[in-house]
Amino acid sequence: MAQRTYPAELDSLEDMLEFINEVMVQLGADRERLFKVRLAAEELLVNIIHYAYPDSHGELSIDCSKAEQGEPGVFIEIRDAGIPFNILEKQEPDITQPMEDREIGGLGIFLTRQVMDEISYEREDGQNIVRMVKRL
Amino acid sequence: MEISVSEQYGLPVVKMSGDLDSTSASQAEQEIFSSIDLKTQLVLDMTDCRYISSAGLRVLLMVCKQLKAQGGTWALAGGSEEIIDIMDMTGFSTFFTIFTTVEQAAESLSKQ
Repeated sequence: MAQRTYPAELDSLEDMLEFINEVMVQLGADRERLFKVRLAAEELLVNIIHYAYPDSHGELSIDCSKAEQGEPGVFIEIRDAGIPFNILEKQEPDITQPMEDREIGGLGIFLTRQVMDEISYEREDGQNIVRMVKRL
Repeated sequence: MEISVSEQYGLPVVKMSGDLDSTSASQAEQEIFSSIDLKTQLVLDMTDCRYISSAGLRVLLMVCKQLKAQGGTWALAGGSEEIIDIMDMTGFSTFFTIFTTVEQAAESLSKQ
């Protein structure tokens, strides 16, 4: 399993996404899946970068590899040691509201959940752990 | 991400090229907003936009809200299958009429 650790900063985002993209390309992902996994990862990573470490600089780690179980797919695990945040409990935006009533923001985690095939959250040893799978 | 503003078919066109994401959104927002002040008709050209995330959607929503407040009308041109897919998923496709080309978008606005 390929694992990398990064400072939880916007300046590192491109490197993080590039790492995931490289693994995806090696696994033979098509254009649509590259797009969707990049989106899911960006939303999740930006959320950690913005909110996980309000008073300090922290790190996050990314594991990205071939899914071990089930149909061919990519497995991504993202860990941070920031404040507890269960992405599965975040309220979903009302996407049926007209434009005038739509709030600016709140779509990120919703998109992550929409585009991935499997997603789980665990708080363990002081870490937020999100595991996701996209079938290829 | 590159933002360029031009006039095509008699209408202002804001062209977004590249990736409209968390790293480019705030610059895109500034550049677009500096050029849409008082505009009442606008074509958003996404023909060469390859990728969009929620940060980019946020910019589009703000632009639409601003145009609406100015009593304006707007249309979107282009947008890859993946981008339209994301707009469908988030309900954003109801915020725009989406055309294949800038010409079609401009023609539709001109008739309004």
